[in-house]
Amino acid sequence: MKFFNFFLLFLSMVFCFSCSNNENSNSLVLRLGAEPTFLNPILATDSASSSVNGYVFNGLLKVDPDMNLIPDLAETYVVSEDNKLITFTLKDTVLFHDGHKLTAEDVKFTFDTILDSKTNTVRRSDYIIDGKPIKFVVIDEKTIELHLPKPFAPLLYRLTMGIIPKHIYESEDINKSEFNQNPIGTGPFKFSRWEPAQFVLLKRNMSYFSDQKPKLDSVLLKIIPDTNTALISFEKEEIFSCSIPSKDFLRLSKLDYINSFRYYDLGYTYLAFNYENEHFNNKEVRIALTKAIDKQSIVKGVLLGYGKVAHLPTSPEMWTFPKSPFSYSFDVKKAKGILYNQGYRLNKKTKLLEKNNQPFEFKIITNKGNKDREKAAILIQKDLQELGIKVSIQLMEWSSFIAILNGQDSPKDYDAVILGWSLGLDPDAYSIWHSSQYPKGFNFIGYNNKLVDSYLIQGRLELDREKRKQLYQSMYEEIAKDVGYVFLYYPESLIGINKKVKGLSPVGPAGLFNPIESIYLSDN
Amino acid sequence: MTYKIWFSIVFILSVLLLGILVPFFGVDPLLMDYSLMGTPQPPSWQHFFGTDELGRDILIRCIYGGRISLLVGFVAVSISITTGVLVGVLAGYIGGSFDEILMRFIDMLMALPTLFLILIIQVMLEPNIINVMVVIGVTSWMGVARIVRAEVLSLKQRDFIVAARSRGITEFKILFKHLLPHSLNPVIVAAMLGMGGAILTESVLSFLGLGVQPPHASWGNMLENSLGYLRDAPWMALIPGVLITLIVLSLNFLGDGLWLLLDPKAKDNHVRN
Amino acid sequence: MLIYLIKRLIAAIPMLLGITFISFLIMKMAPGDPVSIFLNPSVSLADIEQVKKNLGFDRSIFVQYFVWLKHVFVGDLGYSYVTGKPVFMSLVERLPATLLLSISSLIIILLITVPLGLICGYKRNTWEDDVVTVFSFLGLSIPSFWLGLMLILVFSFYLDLFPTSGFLDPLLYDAPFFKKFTNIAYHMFLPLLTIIIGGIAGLTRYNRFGIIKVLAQDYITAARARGVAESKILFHHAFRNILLPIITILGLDLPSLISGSYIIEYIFSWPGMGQLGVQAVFQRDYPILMATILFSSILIILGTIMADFCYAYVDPRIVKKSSHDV
Repeated sequence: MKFFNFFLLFLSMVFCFSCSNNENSNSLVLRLGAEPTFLNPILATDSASSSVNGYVFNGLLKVDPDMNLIPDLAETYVVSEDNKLITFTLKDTVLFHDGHKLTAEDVKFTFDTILDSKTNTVRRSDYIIDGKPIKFVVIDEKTIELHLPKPFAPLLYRLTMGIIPKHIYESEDINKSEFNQNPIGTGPFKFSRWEPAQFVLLKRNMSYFSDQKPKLDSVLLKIIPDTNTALISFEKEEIFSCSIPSKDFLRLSKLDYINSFRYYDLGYTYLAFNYENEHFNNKEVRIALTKAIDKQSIVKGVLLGYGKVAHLPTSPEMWTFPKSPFSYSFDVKKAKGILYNQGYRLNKKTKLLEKNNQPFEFKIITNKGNKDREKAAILIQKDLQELGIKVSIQLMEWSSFIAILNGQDSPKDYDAVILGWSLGLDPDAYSIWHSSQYPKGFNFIGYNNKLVDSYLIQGRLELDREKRKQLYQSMYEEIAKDVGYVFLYYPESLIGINKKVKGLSPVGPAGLFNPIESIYLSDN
Repeated sequence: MTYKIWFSIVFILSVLLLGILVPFFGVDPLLMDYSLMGTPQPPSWQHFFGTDELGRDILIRCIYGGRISLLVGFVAVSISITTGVLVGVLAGYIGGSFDEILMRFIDMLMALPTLFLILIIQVMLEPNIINVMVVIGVTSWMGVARIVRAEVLSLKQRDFIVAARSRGITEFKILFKHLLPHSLNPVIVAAMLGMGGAILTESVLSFLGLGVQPPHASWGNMLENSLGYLRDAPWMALIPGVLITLIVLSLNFLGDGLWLLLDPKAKDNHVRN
Repeated sequence: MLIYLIKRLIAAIPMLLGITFISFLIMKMAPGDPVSIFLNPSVSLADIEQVKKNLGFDRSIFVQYFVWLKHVFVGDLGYSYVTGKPVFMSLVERLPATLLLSISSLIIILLITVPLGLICGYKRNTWEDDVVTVFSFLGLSIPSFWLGLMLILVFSFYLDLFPTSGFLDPLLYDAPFFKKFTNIAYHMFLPLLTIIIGGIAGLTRYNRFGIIKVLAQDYITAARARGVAESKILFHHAFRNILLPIITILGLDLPSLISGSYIIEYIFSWPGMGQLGVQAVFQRDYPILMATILFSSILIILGTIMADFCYAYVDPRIVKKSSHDV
């Protein structure tokens, strides 16, 4: 057969020339789950771009493996007595990848560009305090002052923002500049090549300002959208690091060429209720619901034990996490009692709880694609069915889902939602819990507690770490007692890394490649 | 040829019958065995097809899922056939500029890439079973309309229609008593092929998270859900995958067979479904 | 004939306008927008509103459409909302991978289906015919994403014959042409196989009936009666007669191969246009989506015109008749 011969020819051709391709032995190969958007830290918001930008750019400050802030581009910084003036002195020897020297002008340019309303960035309000922007004043080539309208504790963590070169962007429309695809930064790795939907290649920056030069020749970030494909490539050693689904963790950790790691990330998953709904407006009902949901079996069944039950709106890795958090225990009987006291009666016919002849039923929405949330919803549906509450589940495509939560008017068009917050490094949670953030804002449930409001405002003004900790811990307890959300679980991040990769930092949410300079590859 | 048709009929009927009868068995497709939760169990005497990661019996879910998959196929095709036949008959019968406008409109819809069209509409609507059926239906009637129109155009010239008209039979009667029934043969074939296509489309939509929503089972979303377990629990992916393949195969065999039966001329337009 | 062609091309313009307007309308009716996709407590909604205003979302749908249209007429497809890259560039970058995959799958499908159809048609209703029919239909009935993942699992993971995904080895971008070519072919094998398995049934079936029809013609019977060798009848007469309808089918199928292979592109991380377009739906990246739709629609319309043209070439009467009976 003609075709068969052709087929054989094709096969043999393909094999001869492709099987032996000499791997570059000193290149770290990682996975990106999606195509990056902007290789420009002030415009990027997605995680793929952020991971690339992290290697190419530096901020004034950075986060060490213990999640403390340490100077990066800054040599030192001084905070004034009244907490309203921060003076940064820059390192002397910092060069951009094109050879230009970094000066205080670049720092000013970066933040002024963010503050410019023509820039399509969502970071602007990070540097605006009570409607007044922070002033960036260049003193000399290596000194810059930040004038704050009033003390603002969360600011320091926001100064990890990557600094972009003024001489490159000055004459460009920053939103459309081609340098957003060919970035020039100061980081340990230089941008080398970006093939759309395939990979981003970064090469070592030989003139990196730190004493410790990067050990790797290059970092290759392959774009592999499908998670199943990614896991198989990881097992085939085509990529050196991959997040592992919980069901595969045990099997993969037994492989002799893989190191596996688990740690709590800065986040929590919760079930939130719309306070405009008459059932959920009642605090007692919320307490009953949180007591009726078997969180332990969600952790066991959904997370397969890789995580723990949550009671508070923060992460166990956060420095504000209390030693003995307040919690409501799982107790279906008590839950039934509470609902009875609130006037809910079981209709023998429909087997549903009713109040004022209205059956207790509601719909949980969550985003698709997150299997854990999907399954948690199914388990919650089962648990509440025991009480006589009818729950329906709807999975929504992300953009439509966000459109509901971000609705501009009260009441918003949902009953309950399962979602997770991934938190910043600062414990400030103003945008989530402050009553001013409803209906426009991320307080989409309409939470309103004067005490919590005042804790949030004080927390922003207080710079003393111990005092801040006290404030936030009181706030967590207040929210937990209120059942602001039904906190479900803290998921663990499960990461596999090929044993070739050495020089990893201690396990934690600040990442295992922190700093990337000390990472190297070795076969033993 | 016949064994293929028999196989198809038996397979489709058994899926259908099991689906109709399953509510009387007293089994719950959502029933979770908490003790098995987390790890899918391989097939055993207790669970013939094993259990999934939430401890649900896969056999029961397959039966319920088959019901939904067939329903999706059936309703989607009913929508596309009804619309298609209506538009096709009217266009072919009335003719003139009415026909011209309709055909231009169809050309336009057909020039839209179908997958994008389905996706855009599907993200606009709330994703649930009904919308899945409607979306698949309203994006696939154009082919049917063209076939029917061509059929009507050629029938209009035929002797028995001309004769009927000369006998003074009303136009309405001609339309619905003569033209419509006679143009239905290729439509039945298109329906069979379209149903297979609709079931496959549902599985693709499920793969993208826009198909039938859990906890309801369809073969498409069961398959999608199992893809993460290809290594540890291959039966979870194998069973719905094979079932989808078999049902689509059966519908294709049936369509192909019926086409030979109904239309011995072997017209050119058959392969495009 | 030329006038006919020009007429068809002119008629395509209002169609394109209609298509783009309909898609724009549906798209804008979908909830959500490209800016609000971040649900991140550190992002303020005021910033999101500002960005939306910068992108012109505060204007009415009709104004937005006409602004878009005006720019398209002067050749400006705009900038992606998500990456800030010129849309034209984004499309062009994706074109080679898409064309490579779709054209090679088309050629291979042809190379397989023409002889298969010939065999089946010639030996119709024998066991050979049956086997081919059953297997090709089987291929048609398998969900492609499932098949793709199974192939990765078997051929890439267990047998370790092919890479799991990708297009070209990143180290080979500056390699000589032939080395690049073979490496791409090596990466393309599994996605290609997936497409081919699903694509054999249709054309085989089509060719089979073409052959059966031709073999039943009087002149074939006459040729046989004259004692012309069977092989000559088959290859000379029958074969030539089914080629033209195949071209027609191809004209119609080419565009669907471009927009239809998204699932395969996604699973195999193949950097094609399908991935770009579907991503744009989920991210509400309207400029990219509109351009993708415009591009595929143009391809589809050109395909249809080409198909009609081939028909008209065989049967000139068709020009006078209505042009829709494809």
